[in-house]
Order: sequence, then structure tokens, then C-alpha cells
Amino acid sequence: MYFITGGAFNGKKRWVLTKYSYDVNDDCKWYHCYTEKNKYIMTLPYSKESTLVIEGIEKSLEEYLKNGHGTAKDFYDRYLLKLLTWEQQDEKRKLIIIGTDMTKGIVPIDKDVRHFRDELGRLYQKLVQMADDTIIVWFGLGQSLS
Amino acid sequence: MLTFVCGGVRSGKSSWGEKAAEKLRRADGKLIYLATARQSDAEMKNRILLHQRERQAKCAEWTTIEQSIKLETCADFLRNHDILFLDCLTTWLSNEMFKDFNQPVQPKDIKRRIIAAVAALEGACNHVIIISNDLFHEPIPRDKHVYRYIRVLGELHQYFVHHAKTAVKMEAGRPVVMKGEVLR
Repeated sequence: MYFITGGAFNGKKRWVLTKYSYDVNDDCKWYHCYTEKNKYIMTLPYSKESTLVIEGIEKSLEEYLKNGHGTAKDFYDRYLLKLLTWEQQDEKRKLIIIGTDMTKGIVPIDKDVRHFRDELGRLYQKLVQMADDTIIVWFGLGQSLS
Repeated sequence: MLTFVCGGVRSGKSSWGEKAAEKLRRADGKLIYLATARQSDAEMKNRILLHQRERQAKCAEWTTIEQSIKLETCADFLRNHDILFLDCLTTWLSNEMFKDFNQPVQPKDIKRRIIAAVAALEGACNHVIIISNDLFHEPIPRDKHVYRYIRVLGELHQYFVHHAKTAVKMEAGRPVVMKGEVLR
């Protein structure tokens, strides 16, 4: 799994389209968390394509946390673990997760936003730990953490 | 030529950028400070005064131009060998975007206009140093205007980083060179 992160509007998507052009142009399923509901993530391990891109994972986590007092760990176990397993089952498969880093501003006044931001930080730690590589995109320039 | 410098508040962007400008200065050219901030209140006025005093204290002969919108008009004042220090893109963009709420401007047009203005400034002098802020690492406000503002700013940053010869990320007073070479 490859985890692509960085601030909002920093060109993360364009970075993926450019650097993984071979994988994402052909035989690829691109999943937008901002336009689709979380329940469809469950169907992704059954798709035929060999590359799977999840764009905007922060939005899925936000949706998940709205339905109760969940944590990043619950979210990871419920939605992402299966995708990592799916990737490992075939060496042709590649999972790319794009997530906006929202963890560096002022502490939000709203309790739910605070909780979301805390859990987002935890989720990203987990993703970095599980990823083959993590790329921080800074206005179009990518920096690998490995 | 273009240098792009971006960082958080009080990360030392301006002072590092000013030093870089002084190093780039040529005997036959001027150092020009293009200030985009408006004196909207007493705090802003003090901030501007502080920047002016710091520049005076350094004894380098800075020429200050105060222009909050339509910066391309400053190109007329520039000579080929001048070094232009533009502080900063964040206030310039907000001046352009929010100058009149009754006459909303398309984000695309503003972006195009700012890119063209920088190209005009770059063409009229030896080197342009642009300072800007990093506002992209927190939950994006739902307000339509703020959202648009942050999106356009991010797109402009991507454009300028791509276009610049040198791009620097400031971290607590230290320049992290993301692209090109440090100015020596």
C-alpha cells in the first residue's frame, strides 16, 4: 500500500496521476470518498481492477465518526484491513490511499471536530506504519518518508 | 527568475527572504519591497511599521512600494537589474478576492490574473522573491468564500513551486530547500 498525504490543495491527486500513471491509467478503480458513501468501500475488494485508489480517506473517517463514538482503529479494522488483505492476495494488485493532512492548525472549538482530528492523526500513523512507502506532497513536490 | 518561500506564521519567511534578496542584489540594481498589506487596523499598522523598521535597521537601501491589488502595475517602476521582494501572496490574493463582495470574481480569473501579474513583474526585473503562508493543514472551513480562497491559494502555490527556480519551506527560522539551490 502506498499512502499519499500532505496539506489540502497541494497537488496530491495530480502527483498520483503523474507518478503512478502506468498503474492508474489502465485497469484501475478510482474511489472518491467525497462523492461516495462508506458502505461502498466494502464492495471494493470484489472489483476486477488490479489497482485501487482511495482518494480523500479523511472524508470516510469523518462520515464513520459521525455515526457514534468510533475510533480510527475501528474504522481501519472495518474498512481498510480487507483492502490490505486484498492487495496481498495477488502481487499485481496495488492499493493507493490519498489523505489530506488536517492535523496542524489551531485546536478546533467544536468537540466533534476535535475528535475527528485526533482520530485522523491516529489513522495516518497506522497507515504510515502499514505502507510500503509514504509520500508527503508539498505543492506538487513529493518527498518519500522511507 | 523566481524564488518561492512558504511557511507558517513567524517562521522567519520575511527575514530569510529579505536576506536572500540582499545577497542577490547587484551593484547596478535596486532592492524593491512590494508590500501588499493594507493598514486595516492598529495591529496591522504596527506590524507594517515593524517590518519597515527592520528593513531600515539593516541599512540596505530598500525602496518600498505599497500596492494591495493589481501588482502588475508595479512592473513600470522596475529596471532589469532590480530584485523584487513580494510580501505576501496570501494578503494579495485576499485583497483581490474580497475587495468588493457585491462584485464577485471567478476564482479562475483571479488565478489567471495573479499568474500574469507575477510574469509581468518577473519580466521587468532580475529576480522576484514571493513570500506566502501555509494554511493547508487544518480542517477546511465550510464557508464558501474561505474554501474558494484556500483552493485558489493552493493552486497558485503549486503553480509557483513548479515555475520557480528555487522553492523553500520555512520551518521555525530554518529554510528547507524543496527545489533548486539555496541562494548564496
